[in-house]
Amino acid sequence: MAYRCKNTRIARATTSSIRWPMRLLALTAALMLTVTSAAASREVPRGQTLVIGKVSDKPRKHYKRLRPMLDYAVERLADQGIRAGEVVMARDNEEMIELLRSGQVDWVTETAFSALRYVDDAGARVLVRKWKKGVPEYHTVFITRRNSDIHTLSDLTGRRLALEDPGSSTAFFLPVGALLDTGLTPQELPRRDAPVPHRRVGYTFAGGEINITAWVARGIVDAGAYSNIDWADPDHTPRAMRENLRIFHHGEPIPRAFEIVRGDLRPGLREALRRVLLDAENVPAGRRAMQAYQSTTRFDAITPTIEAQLATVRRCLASVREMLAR
Amino acid sequence: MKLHQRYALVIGALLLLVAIALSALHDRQQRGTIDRITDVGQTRFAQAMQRTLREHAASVARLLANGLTTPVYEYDVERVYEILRDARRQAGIEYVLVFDDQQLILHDGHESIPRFGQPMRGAMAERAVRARETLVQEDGEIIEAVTPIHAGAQYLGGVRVGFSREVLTRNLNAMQADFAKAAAAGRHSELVRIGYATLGIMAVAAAMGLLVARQLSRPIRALATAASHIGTATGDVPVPVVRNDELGALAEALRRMQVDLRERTVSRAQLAHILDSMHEAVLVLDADYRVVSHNRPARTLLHGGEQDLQGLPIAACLTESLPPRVTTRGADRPPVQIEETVLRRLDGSVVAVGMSLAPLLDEPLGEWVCVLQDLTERLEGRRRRQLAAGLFEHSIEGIALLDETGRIVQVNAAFSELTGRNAAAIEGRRFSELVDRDHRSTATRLVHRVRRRDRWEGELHYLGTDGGPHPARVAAAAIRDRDGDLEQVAVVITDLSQQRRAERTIHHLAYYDPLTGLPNRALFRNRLEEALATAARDEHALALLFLDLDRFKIINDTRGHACGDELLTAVAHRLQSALEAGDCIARLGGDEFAVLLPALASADEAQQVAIGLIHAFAQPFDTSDGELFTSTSIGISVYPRDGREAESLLRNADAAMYRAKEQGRNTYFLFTQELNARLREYGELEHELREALHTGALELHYQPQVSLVTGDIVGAEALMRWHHPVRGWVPPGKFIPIAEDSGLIGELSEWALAEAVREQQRWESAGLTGLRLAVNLSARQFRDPNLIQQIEQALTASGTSRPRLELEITETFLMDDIDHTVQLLLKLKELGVRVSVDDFGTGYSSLAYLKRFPIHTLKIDRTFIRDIQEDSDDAAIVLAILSMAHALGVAVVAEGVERAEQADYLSSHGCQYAQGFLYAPALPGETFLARYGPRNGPMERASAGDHER
Repeated sequence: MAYRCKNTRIARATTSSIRWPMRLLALTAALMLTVTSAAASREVPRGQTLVIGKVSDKPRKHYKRLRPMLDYAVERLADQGIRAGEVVMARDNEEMIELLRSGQVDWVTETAFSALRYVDDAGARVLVRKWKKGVPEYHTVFITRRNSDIHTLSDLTGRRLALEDPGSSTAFFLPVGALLDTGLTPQELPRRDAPVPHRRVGYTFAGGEINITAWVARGIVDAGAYSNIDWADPDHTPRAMRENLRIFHHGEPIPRAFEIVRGDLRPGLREALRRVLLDAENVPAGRRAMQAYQSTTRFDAITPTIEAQLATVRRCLASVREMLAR
Repeated sequence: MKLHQRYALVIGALLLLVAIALSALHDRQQRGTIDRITDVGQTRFAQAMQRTLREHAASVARLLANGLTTPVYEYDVERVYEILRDARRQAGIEYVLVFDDQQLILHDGHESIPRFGQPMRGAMAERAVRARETLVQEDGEIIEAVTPIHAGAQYLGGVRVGFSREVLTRNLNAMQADFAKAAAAGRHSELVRIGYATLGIMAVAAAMGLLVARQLSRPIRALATAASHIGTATGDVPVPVVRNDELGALAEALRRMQVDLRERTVSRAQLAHILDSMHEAVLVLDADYRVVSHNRPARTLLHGGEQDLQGLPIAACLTESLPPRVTTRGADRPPVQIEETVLRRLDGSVVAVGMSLAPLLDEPLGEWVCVLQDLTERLEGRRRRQLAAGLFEHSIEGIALLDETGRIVQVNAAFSELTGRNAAAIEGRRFSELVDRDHRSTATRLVHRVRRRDRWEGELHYLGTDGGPHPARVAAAAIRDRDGDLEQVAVVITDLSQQRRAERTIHHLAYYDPLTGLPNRALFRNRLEEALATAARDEHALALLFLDLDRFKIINDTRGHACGDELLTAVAHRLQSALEAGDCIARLGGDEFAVLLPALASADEAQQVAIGLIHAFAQPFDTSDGELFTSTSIGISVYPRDGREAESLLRNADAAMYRAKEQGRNTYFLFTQELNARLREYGELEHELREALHTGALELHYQPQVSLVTGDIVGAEALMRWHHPVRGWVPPGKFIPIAEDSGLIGELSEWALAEAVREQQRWESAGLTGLRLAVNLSARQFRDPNLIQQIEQALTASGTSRPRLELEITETFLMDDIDHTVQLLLKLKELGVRVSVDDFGTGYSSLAYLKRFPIHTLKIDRTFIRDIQEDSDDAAIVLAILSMAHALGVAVVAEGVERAEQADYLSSHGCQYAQGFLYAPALPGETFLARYGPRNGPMERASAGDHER
């Protein structure tokens, strides 16, 4: 179901998960916005409109973050025939892949794992690396209690490991990939207090970074894994808990996020957009737009190092998928 | 201040004091009541708030404990945080703590849990960890509720919620403020009510005071009113008071005084009233003739107020001195009467008055009584009568005064002059006897009509000095006596004889041609309209013949205008005699006549009349310059076939007349539909030509002029071409006459001149140099005083430094105005512009004048060239022209050379130049340039294809 507003289009999966008053509001807004957008789309043909997409369950919040960056880019792409911009929201990666394939979305901002999915499944192209919240790359840390006897990944055999959720990059894919690389055999536990099968590493989902920290600190699990950014964040790792914890393994660094474009985007427009993004940190208006755009501090070009990191991620993704398929 | 007002003030003030005292007492009682209510209310509210807060804290703690059971059990710290975060947003909550079964803090409500794992301290903490059910405790400003968390029978810990008493205090303070505000508002509204009540009491007090006071003072006021009227002109007022007290006695005394005064005295006011009602001005004067007393008419007469007249020395107002006997003083003072004198008013104006002065016996009142009578109206009446008498006697209109029987009482000199009879012979006779018999009955009824309606106006024929009737406008008016009865009738007679004669003259001038005496265009048109109406009603035909004398202009120019006028007069008489009585002939102007045949049996009848008229011209006309022959061309239009309105019939007859001229003159032509179509096409072409000129559809084509000696091209003639989007190429012979008739030729020629000069410049830029370019000049341009300026502008615009322009002028124009022609040709020569005479041989040229003209070229008309080898006359003319040109030293161009034999003949007889299809037709400018430009060879004779074009 598409929600449109002037120069904006928001796609959402269903309305069944929205409470009734919200559905009513959303329906009213959709009716109003569809009318105005019909006029708007008549005004500006699709070929002259740049469409940015985002997978989101909070369309309103993300719209506010994406819009300034989109406007900034549209203003500078007039020589490419771009006269307007639209924002499109998808409920999940599958829908976004469909939008990229059908050409309804031109440009997406995502983490490395999702970016790789769009490249592989929708034929999208990675345009630039994004320094989301000022961070170009991050990695997974494995933590345990300070007095634990766990010191390497291999020590996790027969132990319980807390991970965030099955969609997390640094708190699921990367740590599980690391375990597989080490030759260990991770296995999800049906309950967190269920016994760990023989010669396996049992893992359970804590649902949030603070719970990983608390569970390790409390001794409910033996270890936990999440990103180095979570480790440094007192909201995710309170100081009182961290005093009793320690990191026993650092994973390989991976890029923080990417800007991706659909594969059949005009080469001229693609290149122009790439130049606009790379140059944004040098322009006051660009810096303002980046700040709104998830506190981004710069975009940089894809280097061989980054490509190697992406290859690592791709391998990790493949091995984890293979494990899950078993 | 009046008596009842004083009473009212005193009574009102007393009542007001009482009201104020009562209000103050009431206010004091109210204030005490409100203060007591406020104190009690505040205390009870504070107690209630305290209880509510404790109960609320316990409820919140219980709710939190319930919600936290599962997250604490599962150690879901993130969920615990979400619950505590929501709780802390509630107003009044100072802190929320969740502790585990070991009394260590699990969560403190902050995201980074700074107190995580810390033990709790203090008396309240000790009581909290021991609590096995909800406990509410207080410490200073904090009210804390603790609820233990159980998972079934398992004790997991508890939740502590701390509320700040500050909220309670704030609410109490707010309540106190509200109470105070409510009390203040209550007091304020009470004060307002008291204020209104006091005002109401004051109003009632004032009204009551006034009522009582008026009641007390009423008999005194009645007595005062009655007393004030005693002895005045208004007369006595009854004394209404009847009482048995002192006021009753006073009223009785007043009534007696009224009776006494009424019986024994005449008041001064009554006297003044009498004097004011008089018509004359009355002044009482003292011994020095100063005004002591006067009446209202005196103020009116002297234009002064009462104060102005008091003490006024009357002698100063008289322009004449008083008679000596009046100025003397003494006991024996006889009255004085002055019939008419002039009185100067106080504002400086003067008025005629009659005056009488009589001595007064009553010394205290004054010495004299002076009566003045305004004579203005009387004198004015006299002046009017004198004026009327003068007007009557000296008026140029005849005036007679009749008595009520219609007999003449008096007449003035003018009347005697009009009728040729002296006053003595007229007076006593009836007015109707002096009127023509046809109007006599009207004259007889005149007095009767005036008696009824006061006035009568009309036209009568009176009997003049010659005894015959003369038209006159007669105005009669009634003269009535004071009772409105008819006394006399004034009859004014204005002779209209001269006016009638003038009207006839004007009519004749307006509707008749002064030269021939025939009806003019206006009258003819009126008669045509009338005849058309009759023909339409009776359904018969009528015909209109439009005549134009042939070559009249030549006669006029050669014999003079006087002779021309004589001829026109003779023609008019001849035409009149050739027509029947019912036919109408008119001169429309110049040498144009029109004949209206109002009733026709058929169109053939009109043709017969036309033939008769043409025959009438067969005989010569006698003029003072001898006998003259002339003829006429006649156009005929017939109603209803050729038009139903005067305008269309005239237009069509005119068109038919031109057709007759085209057919050789001295004939007639009946209007036809074919002619109509031609006229329409003519009109359309004129419109389209006008558009073509502005849309650029006109072009100039250029026909080369060739040297018959060398074969080289020496020049070109610019010829106008019109390519019509529908008609194709329109021949110049068709559109040039239209342009001439419509006046467009001037604009066309200007454009052609400018365009030709531009083309020449283009050729020269392209290397085609040294060619003369000939441009035809229209008659209108030739006479245009701005011609020289136009040529200069065209040359300047083109940037041509050495103009090779040649203007072609027809022979006829040259001879029109010899002086103008010479002047113009000299100026053109100064500009370096050559002049050639076009169509030479077709007009009349005076060789003597031709010699005087600075011309360069003669162009032999194509009609002489066409048959030059077959027609000996044409050959002779051409040879004569060539011979003459050689003698005058001018070049000759032969036009319309189409065959090589013609060119050879001309060359062998000394003609230098030729143009025609033999060499080339007229070509567009670009084609001309392409063909004769610098990259092409010498001039060659045209191919067979060119001939055909």
